[in-house]
Amino acid sequence: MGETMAVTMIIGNALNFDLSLLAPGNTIAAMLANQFGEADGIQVSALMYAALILMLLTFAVNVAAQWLVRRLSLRY
Amino acid sequence: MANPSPITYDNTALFDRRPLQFDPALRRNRLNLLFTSIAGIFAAIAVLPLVLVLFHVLMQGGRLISASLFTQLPPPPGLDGGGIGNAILGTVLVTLIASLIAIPVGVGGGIYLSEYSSRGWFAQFISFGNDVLAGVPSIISGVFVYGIVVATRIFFDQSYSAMAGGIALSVLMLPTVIKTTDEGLKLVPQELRWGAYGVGASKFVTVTRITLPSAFTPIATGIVLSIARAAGETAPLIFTALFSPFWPEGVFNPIATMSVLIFNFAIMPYEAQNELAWAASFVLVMMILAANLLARWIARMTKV
Repeated sequence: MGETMAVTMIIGNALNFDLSLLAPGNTIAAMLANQFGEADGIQVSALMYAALILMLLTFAVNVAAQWLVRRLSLRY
Repeated sequence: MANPSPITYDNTALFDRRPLQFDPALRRNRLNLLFTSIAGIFAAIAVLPLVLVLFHVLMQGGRLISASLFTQLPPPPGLDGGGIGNAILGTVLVTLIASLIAIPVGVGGGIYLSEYSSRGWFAQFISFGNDVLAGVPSIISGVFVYGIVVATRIFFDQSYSAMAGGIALSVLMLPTVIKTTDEGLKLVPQELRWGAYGVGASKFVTVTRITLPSAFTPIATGIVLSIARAAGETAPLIFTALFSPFWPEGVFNPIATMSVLIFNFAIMPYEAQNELAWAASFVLVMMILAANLLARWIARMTKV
C-alpha cells in the first residue's frame, strides 16, 4: 500500500480526484515523494498529516493481518 | 518377500479389476492435467516480471556501460556524456552508514529477544513493534527522518545530508536484521547452551562464543539481504540525502545516490540523462543481484 517509487513514476500525480481508473491519479506515498522536497511551511504540515494517515492505514492492515495469521494458525 | 503371509485373499472380491495403467481419458486425470497447467501458467506469470525487467534493463543499460560511466560526473542538462561515479560512491556511502547503524542495533535487538528476554510483555511488544515496522512504507521512514534530522538541522546546522539518508535506510533495515537474528538464534539447539552452561560459561560467553557463531549463517544472510534492499531504496532518500551533481563532499552534505539519480533522470526531458538513468539501473540491478547471490552463497557455505 505504501509502495512509493514504482507508482510515483507512472501514476500521473493528478491533484484532483477522478473516478475513472484510466485518468491520472495519485497516492499518498506518491504525493509525499513528489512534493516533500520542495515543500515548506503549512505544506510540510499537510504532507506530514498525509503521512500520518498512511501510517495509520498500514498499521491497521498490519494488525489485521497479524490477527488473521494468529487466528488461522491456531487450527493447524 | 521372505515371509509370505499364510492368509490368502480372494482378489476378485477385494480389488477393482480395472487395469492399473495410467489412463489419460479418466475424468480425474483430465482435470489434473487442466489444473496443473493452470498452476504452471500462473507460476510463469509470477516470474515474468523479473525476466522482463532484467531483460529490459540489460538491453537498455548494458550497452551504455563504459569506463567513463564509473569515473565521471553526470553532465549538466542538455549536454552529452558523463557518468554516474558520484552516485555509485554515494550509494555505497549511504548504505554503509545505514549498515553501521542497523547491524549492531539489529543484531543486539535480536540477541535480546532470543537469548535474554523471557518472552514477557516487553519482548512481545518489541517483536510486535518490529513486525509493524517491517510493514511501514519506506516513504514514511523518509518523512520521519526529515522530521527529526533534516528539519531540526541537528548535525552541524546541515539540513539534507548523507547521514540523514543513512539513518532513513537504517530504519528500513532494522526490522529485517532483528527478525533474522531472532529466528536464526532460535534455531540453535538448546543443548548447545546447556552444554556451555554446564562447563561453567557465563551467559555472555555462551552468547558470544557458542550461540552467535552457530547462528552466523542465517544472521549473515539476513544482513546481506537487508543491505541489498536498502541499496535499492529510493523513497526514503529523496528528501533526506537529496541529490547532488558533484562528488560527495562529506557525510553531512547532500549526496547523490543511484536510486535517486534514476528517479530524477528518468523523468527528465533530456536524452543523455535518460540514458544515464538506464545505465544506473543496470549497475544497481547488477549490484543487488550480486548481493543476493552472495547471500545464497553464505547460506550454502556453512550448512549446519
